[in-house]
Amino acid sequence: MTYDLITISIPLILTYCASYILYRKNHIKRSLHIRLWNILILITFLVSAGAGLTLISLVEYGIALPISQTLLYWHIEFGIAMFWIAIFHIHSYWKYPQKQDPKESSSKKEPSNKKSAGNKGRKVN
Amino acid sequence: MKKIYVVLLIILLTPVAVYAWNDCPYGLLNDPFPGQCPRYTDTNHDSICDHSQSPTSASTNNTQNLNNNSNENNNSNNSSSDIQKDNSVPSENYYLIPVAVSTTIIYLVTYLLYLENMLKKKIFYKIWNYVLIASFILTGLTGLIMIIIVNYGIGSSWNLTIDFWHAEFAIIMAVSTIIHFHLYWKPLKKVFTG
Repeated sequence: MTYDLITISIPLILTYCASYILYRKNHIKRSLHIRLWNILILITFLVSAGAGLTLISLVEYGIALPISQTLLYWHIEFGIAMFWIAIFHIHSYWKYPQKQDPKESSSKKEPSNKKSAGNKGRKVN
Repeated sequence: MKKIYVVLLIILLTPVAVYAWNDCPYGLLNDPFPGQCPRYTDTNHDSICDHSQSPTSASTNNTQNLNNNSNENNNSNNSSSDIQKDNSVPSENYYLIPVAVSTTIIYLVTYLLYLENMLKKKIFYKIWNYVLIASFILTGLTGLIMIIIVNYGIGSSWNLTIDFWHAEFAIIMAVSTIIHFHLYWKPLKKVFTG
């Protein structure tokens, strides 16, 4: 069994380039461009990581299921897609200035008011 | 209140991480042949499941066996060389729980430091972004190497080692991604809510 490294990689790279050019030429909003690739990275991560963790668990407990090979196949296919989309994700956020909440400047003065990381510590009440 | 929860989580998870290094999923010690679970393996032929033995006791037993069976020099030489081979080749155990729990504990410790204002937000975020990027690069590269190995049918002694490290880095990457979701929860929610 061979894996479709090239047939997955090239269309993905071309699609990202097209999406990026459309955003740069102001045909689509940056938020749409980012959202599209964020959704794709989430889907590929869930499938690839879910299948990978299931496979590790099966190997750890010495369980061989008939679906193991199918699981491995889709883990790799989605893994290839996730690899490229993760690179696009890094590219999208690389040195991109994060939105600075005007209230955050006050949080620097009063660090005790800092909120949790789950809320990104952006808003200070 | 949040700090108390974080401290409680660290306390609860630490024994899991320590205990999980003991390989037997049922916590059995020196489980004799034929073993109490389907995972019974005996690479050093001492009729005790390797998973229920600590590495030190396994080597001690092996040394005792070697001393006792002085007239079976050839066999014992073979078994010791087998053990050396086993040590050099990664086992089938990918340490899923210990690696995942250890990463979570380290995250919780840094999170606690951040909540206590001992760690700047920027540094805290940077640490976990770098952990995610590093684990991603290593997982991705080892994965790509394995795809090339499988696609071109390249067989080498490194295959198992690459597979092992791919799984280890992938576990760290999976946990770091969940941490990434926690750190960027609001932007993540915005992706779906608009």
